[in-house]
Parts: sequence; C-alpha cells; structure tokens
Amino acid sequence: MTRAFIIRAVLLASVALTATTAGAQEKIQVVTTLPTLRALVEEVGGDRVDVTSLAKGDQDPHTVTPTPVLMRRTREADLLIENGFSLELWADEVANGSGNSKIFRGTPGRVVAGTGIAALEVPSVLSREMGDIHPQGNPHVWLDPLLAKQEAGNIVAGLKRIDPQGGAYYDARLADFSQRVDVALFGEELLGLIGVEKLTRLAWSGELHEFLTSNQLGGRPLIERAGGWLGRAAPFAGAKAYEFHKVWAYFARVFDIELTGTIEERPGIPPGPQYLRDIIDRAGAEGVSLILVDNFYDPKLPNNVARETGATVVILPDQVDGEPGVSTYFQLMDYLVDTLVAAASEGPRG
Amino acid sequence: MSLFADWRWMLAPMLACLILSLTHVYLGIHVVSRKVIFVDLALAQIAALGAIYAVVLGYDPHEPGDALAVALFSLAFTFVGAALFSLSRMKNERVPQEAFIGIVYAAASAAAVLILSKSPTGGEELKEMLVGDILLIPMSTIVTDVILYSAVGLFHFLFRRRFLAISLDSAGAEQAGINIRLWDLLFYMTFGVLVTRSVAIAGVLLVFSYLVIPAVIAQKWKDTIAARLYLGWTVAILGSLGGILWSFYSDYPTGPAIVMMLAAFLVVSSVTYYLRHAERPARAVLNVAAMLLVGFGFFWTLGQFGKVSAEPTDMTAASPVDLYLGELESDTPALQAEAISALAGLGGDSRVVPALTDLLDRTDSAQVVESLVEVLGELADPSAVPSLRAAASRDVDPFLKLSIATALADLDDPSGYRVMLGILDDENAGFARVQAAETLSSRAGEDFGYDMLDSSDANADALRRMEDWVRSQGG
Repeated sequence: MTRAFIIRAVLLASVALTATTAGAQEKIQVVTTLPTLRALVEEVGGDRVDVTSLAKGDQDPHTVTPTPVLMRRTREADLLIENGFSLELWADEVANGSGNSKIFRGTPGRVVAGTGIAALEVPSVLSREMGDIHPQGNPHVWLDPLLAKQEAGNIVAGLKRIDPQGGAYYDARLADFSQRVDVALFGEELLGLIGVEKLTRLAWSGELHEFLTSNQLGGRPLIERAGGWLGRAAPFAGAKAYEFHKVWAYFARVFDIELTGTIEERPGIPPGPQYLRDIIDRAGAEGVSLILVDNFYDPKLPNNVARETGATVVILPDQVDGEPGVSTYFQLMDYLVDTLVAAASEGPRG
Repeated sequence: MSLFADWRWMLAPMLACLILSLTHVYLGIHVVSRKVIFVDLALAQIAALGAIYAVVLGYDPHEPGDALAVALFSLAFTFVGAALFSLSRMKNERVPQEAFIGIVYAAASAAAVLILSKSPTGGEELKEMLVGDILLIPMSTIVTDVILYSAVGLFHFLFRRRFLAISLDSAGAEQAGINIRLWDLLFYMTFGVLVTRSVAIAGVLLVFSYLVIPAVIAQKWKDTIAARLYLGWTVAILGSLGGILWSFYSDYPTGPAIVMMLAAFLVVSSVTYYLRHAERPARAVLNVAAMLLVGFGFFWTLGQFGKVSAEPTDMTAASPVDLYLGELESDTPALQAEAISALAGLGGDSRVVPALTDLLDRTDSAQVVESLVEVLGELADPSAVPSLRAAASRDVDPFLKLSIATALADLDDPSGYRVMLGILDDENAGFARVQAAETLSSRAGEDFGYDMLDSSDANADALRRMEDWVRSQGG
C-alpha cells in the first residue's frame, strides 16, 4: 500500500512537472512587425502567447533593420503578424531570411492583420485601371479604434489556427477587448443609445459627427452624451489640419478632423519652392489650424509652414511605444487625444 | 508687385547662398591645396555624433532650454575632431591624410548608428535634424549666422599669412618657424565650427560643392590667391543665382539645383580651358565634338530601351454602368459601397435595380445594406420590395432595420411602417426609437407626441394612435 502510494505520488508529481514545463514551452511564439500589433496580440493572446515586435515605436515603419536577437526570435516564431497594405515591405525579407518556413507568406503562420479592412485613399476605379502605384491605399488603419478591433479579430483567427485548444480563451479575450474599446471610444451612454453597429457605420461613412450634432434627445444634441475619446475630442472636432505624411486619414475620419493637405511632396525628397509656397498660401486661405507630424519625421519643414501660417505643429506617435509611457493600445489613443486637445486649446498663434 | 511677392520666398535662401559663397570659397582654396577634400564631411559627422551623445545623456534638442547644451556637446566633439586631424598630418606621409579622414567619417557614422539603435526613443529624427535645407532657412538664422561667419572670417583675415603658408607650402612654413600643429589645430577648429553650422542650414551636398567646385575652377585658371578668390567668388555667386532661378521656375528642390548648376559651371570651364590651352586647337574642337556626340549617343541609345508599358485599356469600350456592376460582384464591401452610390445616379439602366436587389439578398455587410436600401429607396422601383421585406425580417440592428423600413415606405409598401412600430416596441432600440417615431410622424403629417425619455404610460396613447394610422395605410 505504501509502495503503491509512493508510485502514485511520483507519477502525479511527474505529470504535474511535465504539465508545467509543457505549459511553459507551449506558449505560442509570436513576432509582429509593428509594436501596435504587438500590443493587440497582448490584448487578445493573454498568457498563452509570447510576443515581440521587430520595429520600434519611434521608427519609420517603412524602413526597419532587425538585430540578431530579433532574427533569432523570428527563427523560433510560430506566427508572424504584419499590418499589410504594403507598409512593411521588409517583412518578407525578414521571414525568408529567417529560413523559418512556418511563417512564409501564404502559410498558416502568417497573419495579415489588415485583411478585409476597407482602405482609404485607394485610387478610384478609373485610376486603378490606369495602374496606380499604391493600389492598396493608406496602411495606417490601426489609428481608427474600430479598425483596430478588426485587426485584433484577424489576429485571433491566426492564433486559433496555430493553437486550436486556446480558441475559447482567445474569443473571450477578443470580446472583452472589443467591449473595452467601444466604451473607451464612445462612452457607455452613447453606446446604449445608438449601439456600436450604427456608430461604426456612421464613423466609417464619415457622418458620425454630423449625426451626433444634428440629432437631439431631450433638447440636447447627442454629441453631448458622448464619453470616452470621442467626448474628449470635442475641442479639436471639425478642425482643419495638414498632415506631414499620409498617415492620419483613419483617425481623422472618426474624430472629425478635416485633412486638407499633405506637407511632404514626395517621401524623402525636399520640396520645391513653388510647392512650399502653394501649401503655405493654401493653409492661410483654408484656415488650417493644426499640422500633424509623426514623431520620427524631421519637424523642420512643418515648423517652417507653421511659422508662416500661425498653425500649430502637433508631434504625435503613430505607434504603441512611440513615446515613453505609451505601451498599450489604450495609452496610444489617450496620448493622441490628449495631445491634440492640448494643441487645439493653445489656439492659433500670431 | 507680383514678381516681388513671388520672390519674397527666395530672399532668405539667396542671402544664405551669398554668405556661404563668400566664406566657403576661401576655405575651399585651403582644403583643395591641403588635399583634405572630405574633411568637411568628416567634421560634420563628428559634430552630429556629439549631438547624438547629448541626446543619450538625456538632453532633448526640441526643448529650447536644451538646445544650447546640445550645441556645446557638438562643438566639443568638433574640437576633438580638429585635434585628431591636426595630429594626423605627417611630414613624409606613407599613408595619405585623406585615408585617415575617410576612416574617421566611417567610424563616426557607424558609432551614430550604434548609439541610436539602443536609444529608447527620440533619436530617429536626429540624423535628419542636423542636415538642413537651404529653402527652409528663416531670416532670423541669417542674422546670427552673419555674425558667426564674420567672426571666423575676421580671425582668418588677421592671420591669413600663417594659414596660407601652411596650406600652400607646409615645409617652407615650418622652416620659417611657424608652429604647424598649433595653426593646423586652429584651422580645423574654425573650419569645423563653420562647416557644422553650414551643414545644419544648407545640407551636406551643398556645403561640399561650395567648398570644392569654385576652388577647383579657380585653381585651374589662376595662380595668385587673390585672383583665385575673385574668380571663385564669381563662380559661386553666379552658380547660386542660376541654381535658385532654375529651382524657382521649374519647382525643383533648391539645394540640389544649385549643386547641379555649379557642376555645370565646372564642365563648361574645363572644356573652355582645354580648348584654350590645346596645342592643336582644331583637333581639340573635334575631340570635344566627338565627346558630345558619344555622350548624346549613349543616353539616346539607352533611352531606346525604356520599359514598354502595356497599352492602357480603352475606357470608352466599357460604359461606367458595366464597370460599377462589375464592382458589385467584387466581394469587397468598400468597393461595393462605392459602386452602389455611383449607380444611384445611373438608375435609368434596366440592369441596375436587379443587380442591387441581388446584392441585398446575399450580402452580410451592414454597411453595404445601408447604402443599398438608401439607393433603392431613391430609385423607387417597386420590384425591390420582396428583397427589402426579406432584409427587414433578418436579425439586424434597429438603425439598419429603420433604414430598410424607410426604403419600403418610400416604395409605398406599408409593411415598412409595421417594421417601424416593431422598433418602437423594442426596449433596446435606444435612439432608433426616436428616429422611428419621427419618421412615422412626418409620413402621417401629425405629431403623435412620442417621447422616448418619458414614462411608458404617456407614450402608450401615442403608440396606439400610430398603430391606428399604420393600419389605415394597410400595414
């Protein structure tokens, strides 16, 4: 009897031991191209995944050179997640260079988080026929929280392919994340009144602000019932802005910023004198009050335009990890909204 | 007036070019004589390394209060670089000093990349920050720069004999008892301060060109320092003006345009020099003509191998309706929505309504349904009613249900009003109930007095009257 007990105890212990070591090893190894995707994976993957980002938050995502440590992580990865829309042209180079066939393009270990998202600034039917150079449109979809939910959904689909046992876990975390994004964006009251489906359709057709200001309930426009980021964004709602590089279309659509021009003529090429004069004249005529500049770009040119027009340059991170203290998706949106509110309340300068 | 208004933008760049021409042609004569052509690039890179080091130590170049500290770090590094270059001059050099300069450049650049790769944040744009664009130079900068450049210029003017003696004939200078190491150090220190500043306002390319191109032309044509200076200044100023004019009227970036203009001056001057000094002028002219011909032939021939792009598809062959009907089949909601709103204006075509109802039957995108029902309501074709009824019976959110109901009402189908009543009964329909009541009121032409925020008792009567009205419409 004692002997049987000892055998059973040893067996149990060893089972427990293998279970824990297996549990530690079984963590899904995920590599993302961008830190924002890493933050989304952390939200939906919880403690079933181990995730690293190849790019840093204050880097230009168009050009990234990974280090040896990151390449080792890539070789061991079960899943490589990229944003898509031809943003990370280096992703294939990294995947192929790692020799890790699990994450090659087209394999189950490769996730394009932007799949199924309707991109903005896609050339129209006719110019697409003529062969436009950017047929896939603006890639910065994660700056719209509603689209970030969609990217999180694609990430969950990828995680479930690799780790089917975790399916229910990932689904629950995705539902929880989506709920938290909805509340953080609209506030409980507006969500209850209008529902996330209608709010999403309005936001994506660019009619959200118009709908919320023109419809009244109890004698007050609905916009006054907005909470969260949308409620806080009131000081810069309706503002006209220039952007340095074509980045902010999705953010502007939700928060009702009218983007009237791009400061950069062509990426990396200094502007010609006529072009510079034209954007300065136009900014004055249109009443542009904000100039949105991603924090990895040289602010010299936007500062120059701001000096001539009295607009305010707003330096913004476009990624999680782009500024100290911005390490989750929610912190990124908080930072963006707060910074823009501060810039808008500063008012135009002489 | 308009000409002045146009040129107001170019005034600051022109003044900056003038200052750069005056100072850099003089320094360029030194640099070319000393055979240290790339020392400006190396010193600018060392200065950049200094600024990056300051950032690693916690200074923020964007903060006005920190800018001075960053500049001082930069200056300190420049002086260390100057010391390196004055020490690296050998009397009987087995290795040219140019090699050492190149090594310093490469090492400083690599060090900058390494430091930035570990800096947690805020370093990425620094590399660009240190390289300016002459088009963007503000007037206020020009004033401070005139003071700085004049001070360095005065220093060089006062001690011109010693500086020139070392640059032109270092052995002779040493015999004359000049402390070569000391004066070399002073030369590189002043040169480093100036060049670092110039790169910050005008960019690496332009500074290098101002240093080297006029000096090379002058060296070829003239023998005395004074004559070289005058010719160099003329070339630099004319080249700047030409480059700025070209850039202004063709809208090319200003810095590179000036560089190309200076390079063109060099080509023209070299050809002229060759023709003037040739022993057999006729033969020389022939050579130049042959070179031109070869050059032209080279580019013309390569031009024939341009990639042939496919003939653009003939857009007139397919009518817009065909194109948009094709988009409806694309399975991409965004494309479908775009095509739907485009087709709204083309309702005259008999294929449009069947294609739209067909899409309504199979799509599961709420966005597509919303734009579909809006357009179907506008087109008011009764054949859409069965599809709309089917859509209204699906499990969709109350606002979408209301849009479908409104479209049905637009097609004079009273079942739309029945759907609206259903929304009013739905406790969870939120603001959609307000809109349903408003729609019913406006269709009936009477205010039923429904108030969502009111208690349900007061609304019961309103609901009953709406019910009666809907029944009277046959719904």
